[in-house]
Amino acid sequence: MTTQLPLPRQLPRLAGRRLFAAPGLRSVVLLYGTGALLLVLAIAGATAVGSASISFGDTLRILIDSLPLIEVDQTWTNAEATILREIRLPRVVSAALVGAALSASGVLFQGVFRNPLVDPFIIGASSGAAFAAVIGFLIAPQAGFIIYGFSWVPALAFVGSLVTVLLVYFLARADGRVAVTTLLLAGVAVGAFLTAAMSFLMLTQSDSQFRLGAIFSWLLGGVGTVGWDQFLLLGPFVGIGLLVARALAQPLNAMSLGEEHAHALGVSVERTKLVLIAASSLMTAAAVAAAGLVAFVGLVTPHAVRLVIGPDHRRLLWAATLYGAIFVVLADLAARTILTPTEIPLGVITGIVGGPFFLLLLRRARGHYVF
Amino acid sequence: MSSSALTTATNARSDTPALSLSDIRFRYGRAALLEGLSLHVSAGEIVGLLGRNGSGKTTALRLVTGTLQPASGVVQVAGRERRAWRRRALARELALVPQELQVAFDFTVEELVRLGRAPHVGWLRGHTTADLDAARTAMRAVAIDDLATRRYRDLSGGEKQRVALAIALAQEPSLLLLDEPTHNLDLAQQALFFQTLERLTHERRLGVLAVIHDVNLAALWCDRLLMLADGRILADGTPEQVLTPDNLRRCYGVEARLLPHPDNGRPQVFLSQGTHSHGQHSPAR
Repeated sequence: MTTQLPLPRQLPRLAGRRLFAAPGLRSVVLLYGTGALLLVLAIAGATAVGSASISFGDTLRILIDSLPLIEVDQTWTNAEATILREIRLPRVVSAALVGAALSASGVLFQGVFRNPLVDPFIIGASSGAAFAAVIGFLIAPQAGFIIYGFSWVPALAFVGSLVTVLLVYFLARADGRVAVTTLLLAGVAVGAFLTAAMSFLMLTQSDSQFRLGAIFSWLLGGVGTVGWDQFLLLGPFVGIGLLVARALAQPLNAMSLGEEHAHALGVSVERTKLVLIAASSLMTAAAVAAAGLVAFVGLVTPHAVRLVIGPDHRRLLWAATLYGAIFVVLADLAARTILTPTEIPLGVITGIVGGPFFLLLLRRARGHYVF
Repeated sequence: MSSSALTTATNARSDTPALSLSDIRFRYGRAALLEGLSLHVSAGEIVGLLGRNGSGKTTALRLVTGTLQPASGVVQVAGRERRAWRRRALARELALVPQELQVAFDFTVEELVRLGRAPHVGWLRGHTTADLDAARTAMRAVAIDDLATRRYRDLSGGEKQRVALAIALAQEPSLLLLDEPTHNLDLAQQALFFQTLERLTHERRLGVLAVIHDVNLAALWCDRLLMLADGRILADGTPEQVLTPDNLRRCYGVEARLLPHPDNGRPQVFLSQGTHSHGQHSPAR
């Protein structure tokens, strides 16, 4: 081996210290408490805004009235209550679910791959979903078919996303082991193939039949069509994914030292990897079914939160889940209000906000970015 | 709690070696790398494993940790066959100190040392007070307790290597495996590392198997040396018994002279100028 170059004893420190350096009770309460409060405020605020003007006070009163066991004197019309409960609230809550799912699975993927460039779509979840969604647009141009409250497109996207990740995982498997670099490369190859196949499918269709606009808008993401039925169906997937992830947060921490060292620390590396990839892919697929391909949330949120609270996955997971939810609730609010009545695709907002924010993080680190 | 359990276990079976490999065969591709390797390590001794590059030293360590499986032969840890150990129980018995920690993410020293508690901590339960105490004890043992809140990447090479040792100690093992632990360290840090290791080995009755490239360093700090060549142990004994001109010629293909260290009489190796015995062998680095 080559000898290491002499290093200055004190490397330049990353600008910006951790706000919550010590895992003490107070900082944990502060972190989650602030996050939960902000999330509730963001949801309430986002619910109050929409084309029908309902005052913020009425919004709060309707929301509180909707809680079990609490009655509030009615100062609103029944139509306003219906708009809030059946149209706005499911959409806002679904936005939170999408943000939570993408951020949590970003945390897991970056942890498993020990790589900062990884997002939940890295091993084919997005290309598989997009390919399947285009098939969905093909076989049901009017989107008239409904499965469990879903039209063909999100249902197929969910399946396509999961099947592709499984395919990539087993393609990368050799001698009972999956090397993460092989997994990444297999993901890139399968993704390129599916993207090409998707483009071919789109080209073979005549424009009149084929809703290119609808496809592109789906590819850029949005939670516009989600109601309570879909939320209740997808929520459990995210919930299960989060619980599994939390149970494996400790082994995932050990895997930060590399797979061989994790093995020496008693972690069953291959099983942990498989279960974590399955959990995060389930969450990603749920997010894709709810909102199409929302860019950048799963990449940026884990980075930002990690800079503030450090890399311990036991806290990082919950914190990224909370703040990812807040991010997407606000992004969706922006998406439907900036150009009313036109709705901007959600992925456009997350990209426009997330890209510069990410660059800012990189600049602040001045080339010493340790994720 | 686990440290006292560990002590009784060691006392009860003080005759069984902490580690033993018998008649291990391992192939790498078509080439046989280990052909009947046998060795043992007892509690309370530092055993240095010497050998040329590619002679299978690191492979031997990996066969013990279970990253690799031998084609045949038996690996026993604390008198019990390696494969009979449950993974986490084994990680409480033996710990690995790599040549250099591969730390992804910006962990602090204390967070890293707590990773050493991984085999003790339940899946959903957090670190108990006992876990936090064990991590702190491990940091104190290698004198990095004042670095607890520092970030790993800001540390010097010597401090980093002591973090690696602290992680291993936090596992509360009875056996330590070290893979060229001082490879990247300067002279002062090398000495400090081995002083710490020697003290801990005797205090805690650890069995230590260390792959070491530098024969003179190994002669100074190891109680016993093993010389690995042609897939088996060529020589096994005290530094004086193992480091002979004949063994050095057969293992490394070099002509060497030996002089006793002025302080403690341990043998130190000096290469003779330009006299390599076998043309096909290159001298040790």
